[in-house]
Amino acid sequence: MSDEEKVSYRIKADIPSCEGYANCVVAAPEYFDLDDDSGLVVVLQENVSPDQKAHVENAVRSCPVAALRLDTIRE
Amino acid sequence: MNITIIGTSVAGTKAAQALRAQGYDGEITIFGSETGPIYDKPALSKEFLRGEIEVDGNLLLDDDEVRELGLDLRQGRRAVCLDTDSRTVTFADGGTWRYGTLIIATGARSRTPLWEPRRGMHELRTLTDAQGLRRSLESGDDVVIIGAGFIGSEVAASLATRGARPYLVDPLPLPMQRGLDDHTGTWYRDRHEAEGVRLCLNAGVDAIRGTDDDLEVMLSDGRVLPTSTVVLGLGAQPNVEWLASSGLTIDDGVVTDEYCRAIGVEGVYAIGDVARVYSPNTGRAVRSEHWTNAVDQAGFIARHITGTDPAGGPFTSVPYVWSDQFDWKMQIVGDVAGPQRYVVGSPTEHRRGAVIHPDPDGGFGRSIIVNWPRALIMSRKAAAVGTPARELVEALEKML
Repeated sequence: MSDEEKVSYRIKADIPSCEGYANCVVAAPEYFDLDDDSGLVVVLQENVSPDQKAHVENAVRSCPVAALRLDTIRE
Repeated sequence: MNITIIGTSVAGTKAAQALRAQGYDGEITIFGSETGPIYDKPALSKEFLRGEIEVDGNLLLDDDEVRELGLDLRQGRRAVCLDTDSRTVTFADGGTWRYGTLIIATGARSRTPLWEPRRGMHELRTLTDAQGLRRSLESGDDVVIIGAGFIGSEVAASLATRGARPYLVDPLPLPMQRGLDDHTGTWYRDRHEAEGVRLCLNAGVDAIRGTDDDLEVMLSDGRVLPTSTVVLGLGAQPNVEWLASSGLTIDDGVVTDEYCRAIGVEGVYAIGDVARVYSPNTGRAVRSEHWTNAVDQAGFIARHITGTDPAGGPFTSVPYVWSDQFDWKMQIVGDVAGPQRYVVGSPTEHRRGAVIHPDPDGGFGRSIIVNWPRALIMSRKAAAVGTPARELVEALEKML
């Protein structure tokens, strides 16, 4: 039996905090979009593999109102 | 290799976060001149001024994150001298520090006004400034805001939203004239007027008279505005004085090459409001005082220092600025704006609008967007891939 942990990451968006600046969409368009009507963030895929972590963190960090988080999931 | 960051600005803090995200696990030391919470600035003229949030809802870094990221944070340490030969920074308290790699992120401060400072005259750049202004507003007096740039206009909107009727003074005929075209400037002039802001445009300030808290602002058109509270929105200047003897090239900021590296020295980067970064595309070095620019440069140098940039090219970024006034969200993408422009919609008639400027070749130049998320996304995409302006305009017209 292996002790190895499988680590993956999950995007958490705090929609009420979102102000629709779209920095996340520019940084990582595969993961984020804005809703046409509300102008608020839409997470296109919430699961992030380890090789995409730095890329998505870059998008999370670019949010001017800190509405995004990348959580570590250990299974 | 020790990486030393001077400045707890958005550029400095994001650089530390980005270095860790890119896998750098060596020492990171951050020096900040201020003490207390490490806060973000955009909200100071808006949510914080209106009393809707406090500083703990406006942090760039908190204690938990400093611990988690393993950052060596030293506050209350103002850098006063840099010696690039010995790789040493000297601080106002006399202490010195040797760096391996240096990241200069000392930002900008309010431009020094021509008028002698008196109590009741407020700049709005730091948390202390914002707290002082908030206290001053409690008197309920009419506030005089000098300078109708973005900060001045945001303060006017914030006060009018709270039911006040501030004066907004500027020598130019429209608010935010240096950043907007006259069409969008007119949208904002009319909105400010409708909300009760008393615009004093085409009017300079000849003098500020009076004593502490009992001031008179003398306008060039002869009007005299008595007030206890003056807000100075006169723009910013880069914090470069501490670098005077460093040998770095200083010319309206720290001049860098296209990789944000200070010219002529090893191991020194400059990012954010203090940096004037060369762009191979335009052949010019540009200093940009915008939040997103600082974050982009912080991410870029983190990838550059760690060698994790897949493309490996120079720093490129499309300028992006926003300003929230009343319930209008303005977003500006790009900065190439000739006299030609396309107007699509209007925030008063269509609840959303955009003004698009082509570049000299008909490509994307600049979009000024009000309350229109899809136009924002499409403009940022158009800027990235070089969509012709006319094509963007046609697509937006169909959506109106």
